Amino acid sequence: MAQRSTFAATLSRHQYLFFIMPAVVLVLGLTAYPALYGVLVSFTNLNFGYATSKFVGFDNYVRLATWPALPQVLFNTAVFVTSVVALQLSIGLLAALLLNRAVFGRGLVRSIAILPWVIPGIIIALMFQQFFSGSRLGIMNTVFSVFGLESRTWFSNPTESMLVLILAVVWRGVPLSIILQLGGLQTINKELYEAASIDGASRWQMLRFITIPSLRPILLINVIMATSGTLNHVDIPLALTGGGPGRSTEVLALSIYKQGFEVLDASYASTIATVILLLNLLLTIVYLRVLRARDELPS
Amino acid sequence: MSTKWTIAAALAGTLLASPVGAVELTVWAQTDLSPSASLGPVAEAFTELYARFQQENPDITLKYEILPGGTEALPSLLTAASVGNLPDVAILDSFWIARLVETGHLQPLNDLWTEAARADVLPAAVESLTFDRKIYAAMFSNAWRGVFYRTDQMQALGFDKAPATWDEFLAFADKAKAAGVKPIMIPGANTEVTTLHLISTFWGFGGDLVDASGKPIFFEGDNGKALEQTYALYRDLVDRGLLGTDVSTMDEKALRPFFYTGEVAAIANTSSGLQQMYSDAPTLKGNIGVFPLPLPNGERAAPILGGQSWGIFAADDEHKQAAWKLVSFMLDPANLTAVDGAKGYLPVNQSVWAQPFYAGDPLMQQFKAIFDGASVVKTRPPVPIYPALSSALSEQVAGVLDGSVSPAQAVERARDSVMAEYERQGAR
Repeated sequence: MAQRSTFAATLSRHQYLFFIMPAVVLVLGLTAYPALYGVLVSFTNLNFGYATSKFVGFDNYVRLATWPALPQVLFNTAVFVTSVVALQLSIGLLAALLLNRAVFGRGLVRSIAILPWVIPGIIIALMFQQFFSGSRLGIMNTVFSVFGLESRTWFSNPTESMLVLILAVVWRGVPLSIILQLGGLQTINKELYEAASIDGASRWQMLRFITIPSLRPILLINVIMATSGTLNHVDIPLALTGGGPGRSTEVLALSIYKQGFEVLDASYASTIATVILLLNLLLTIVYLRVLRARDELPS
Repeated sequence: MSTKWTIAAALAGTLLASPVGAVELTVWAQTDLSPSASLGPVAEAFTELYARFQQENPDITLKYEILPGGTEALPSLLTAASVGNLPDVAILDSFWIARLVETGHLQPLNDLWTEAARADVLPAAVESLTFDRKIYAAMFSNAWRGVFYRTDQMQALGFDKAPATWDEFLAFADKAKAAGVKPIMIPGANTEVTTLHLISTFWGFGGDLVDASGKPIFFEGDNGKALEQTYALYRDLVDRGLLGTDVSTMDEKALRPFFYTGEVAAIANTSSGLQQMYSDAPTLKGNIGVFPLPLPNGERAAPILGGQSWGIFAADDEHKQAAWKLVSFMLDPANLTAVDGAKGYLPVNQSVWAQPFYAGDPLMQQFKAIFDGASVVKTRPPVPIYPALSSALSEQVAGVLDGSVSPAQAVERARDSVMAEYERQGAR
């Protein structure tokens, strides 16, 4: 009897578990399970060209480490992710600062600014492809012709190809930065600015010593989301440049697609995916450490 | 009262829509071969044909579902096979059949498809889908890859017929170059499409990709020479200023805008893109000519056989018979013409070639003449190493075009990449 009442009391104390369990099971089932299954597949030789597969240990990891194109793909990924995150954050911050001020048409601009975020990546890739198409039908080439300039085949030059790719991804990601940072700006206590103003602080000093430190938690979230989002981007690179010319715009996420769906080598694709998963985890830990360490400095 | 009538009407509607005891037939197809196709005529053709089939067969209820497009479709089918979730019948790329046969779920059609009906089909189209004397799918379309030109542009350049020899081709290309037009554009992006154009030329040079056991031999002896000649031909065109290195990121679709504006005199493309070209640039209708790329050795690039096919997965007799009913209906020459014509596919059936749509179109007759007159018509080898092989061959094109990789190096690099994978696969 006493045992039953203890059990009932425990149940009653932890009844919140019944409410959160469905969500936990759903999230684990839809994210953790596929991720772990992917890791498991990376230790096999699963290839869609064959009916069977077996455990091969670290063979796929050795193969990836000795892949001749790996240095180039890693370099491309680093350039792509760093540029996109830096541009997305800085443009997002600038736009958020502007939209946070009581300027005419602010509401309308805020609504329009979100549009690129709701357009599917594949559509954005097709839009940019149309924009930078090498033929005379390309919008940029049409603009060039108005000024008497020669048509360009943008995607045949490795540097221009990467620039267009970065531009397309930044264009899509900036609205998220604006929304996050605008939300953060609106939570900053106005009295801080008034006090700083009375003390004679300049606008730059207010930005540096009030706005940015207050925005740090939001910036952290933004950096993590932008980094993992960009690392995992496959739709825009695939539809816009396909990794070319050569491998000059091939990023790790695109290598996963190519290995998994073009070469049908599911295990090798899972190996690259596992590496990206680890990279994401590592970068998140680094960001958290760096930003937390900075938070602790003033005290 | 009104509630009672609403319920009665709903019930009647349900019963009419799905007759009691009707066999529900699940059909899988990629979007562009379904009533949801983005190309209007294709969507209309499938909508009309499915509706008519449904009307003629009230004992069968069709339920069509969309397969992911392109290369993602095969993994989807294999996943479905592993969890027992395959459809009863599906439109399948003929290249997937060998792999699907391995799953043990694809049903042989020998008992369903009569010999008389099969006699109408190009023998190679049946043979390529036959394994251990069992026919596993019914190919209903074909595509040709080769060189497309605008007839008015060709005439403006002073030619009244397509180049038939390498020298004639060079003369045509030089004339185009002198007129300030890009002479030719060939897909160079690292994709399967680039490989298809490449192996068409490679086969024209007499090369072979794999031996009878499926082992890659494209780099050995005469095959290696043929592949080197193929890459050298691309490089030679660049050196002569007839082909730009800008094609190294382009697939067939990316070349078409240059064709529409007349910036290029000829593009390597596919007959499957023809309806899209007409839709994008209606003035091209009646203004397009085609020719297989003539090669310096006196041969021509070889046509590749391969297209879409109907396959049946249903194992129980009731669903299998219902599925075959649908397949036979879709293979009827008039119905097949509606689909193939709308999509711009080339037929594999003589009776479809005889339909007015094909018989009365000079361009279609050019395609027919190319296939009929070809000394070599091949399918891509349906072996597990092919995707790796295709990727390795197309990967070299950008380097060959910009001169950073010599044709001989390209062959070696492709060999190293493919054989490493072949050994890995052999150790399974």
